Amino acid sequence: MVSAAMIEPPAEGFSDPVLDAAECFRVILGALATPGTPMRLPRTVAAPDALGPEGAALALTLMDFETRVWLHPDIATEAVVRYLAFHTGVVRASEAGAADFAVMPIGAAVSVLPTLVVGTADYPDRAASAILLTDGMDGGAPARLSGPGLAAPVDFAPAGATSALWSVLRENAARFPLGVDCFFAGGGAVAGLPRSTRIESGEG
Amino acid sequence: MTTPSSTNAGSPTGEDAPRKQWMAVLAKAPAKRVEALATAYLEGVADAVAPRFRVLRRPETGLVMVRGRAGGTGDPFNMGEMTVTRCTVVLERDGAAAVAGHAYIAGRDRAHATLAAKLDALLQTDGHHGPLMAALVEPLAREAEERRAARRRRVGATKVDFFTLVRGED
Repeated sequence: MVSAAMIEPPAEGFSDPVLDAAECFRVILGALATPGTPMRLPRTVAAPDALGPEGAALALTLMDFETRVWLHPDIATEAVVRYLAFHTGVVRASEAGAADFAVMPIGAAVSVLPTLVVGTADYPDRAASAILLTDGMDGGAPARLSGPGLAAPVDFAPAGATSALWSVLRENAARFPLGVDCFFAGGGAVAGLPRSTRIESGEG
Repeated sequence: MTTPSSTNAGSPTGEDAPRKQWMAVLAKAPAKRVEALATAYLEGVADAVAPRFRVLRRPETGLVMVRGRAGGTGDPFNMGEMTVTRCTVVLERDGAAAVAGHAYIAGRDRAHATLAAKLDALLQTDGHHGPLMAALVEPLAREAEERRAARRRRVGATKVDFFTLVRGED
């Protein structure tokens, strides 16, 4: 072999990075504005398995070399790390508490979400955003969402959601205007859950 | 006098040195020459082994901050931005791992960037490395050296050495 380090090339990203990311951004914005409402992204990408097409599209749209991302150990496969480095140039945070974005399987969110940055009273916008990877937008423990963006309450039950998760997210919402904004990604759709949303689940 | 702080001031070293060398040659050679030599080479390749590429990063143009150091050793400072076009392609191979080829070229010639990326991928494969070095990289490197030598001669002919005479201070 001629070159010492022959590295497996990463999967493809957006075919038109500028326009595709802009179109996805519009949908992601809509997802945050209407919490708990699954939306289909207009563009998906060939993503590493651990990230999934929707998680990858979110990452390529939102992250760049000026943001820090923390990847849950289950997500931080070599393929994912190389994919994000090549397409976004994002910097990896060593711990969740130092990240602008945290990507995790939905099952890990209960332990990870409380460790994320929630912003400060002067700069609530400096809070982290969490990307929760799920298998789909139904089948999990349900929660009733209401608040800004929702004319009427909606029921949201992404696969893998538990009452423990909703309780953590309720505590997150209670800190408003501080707190973490969440995205659920997977199963062909993304949904947003900003810190401003009120959450009621079966456990009260 | 300023020189760039990166390694391109001299010859690259380290295990990636050969690749840096050919990437530099391909990036700095005139686009037309690269294209002429590459076309000639690829026409000679049998159809059965004609390389198949897919584009991983379309050629895109942006700005890169070039940093310098006063005298080559002083504190780094931002010298200015230059326009750079980059491209990444993947060479698909039957029965072997795919190879990524990268190119960063000065200016905004997307065709040049794409071609240089393809050639970088080919140059990493055993089958194409030798013939391509001989048919393309070495001639281009020689031409670049000739251009540099010609420029040195042209500039050298008008060289003036400044020195200060001791003045009598009356």
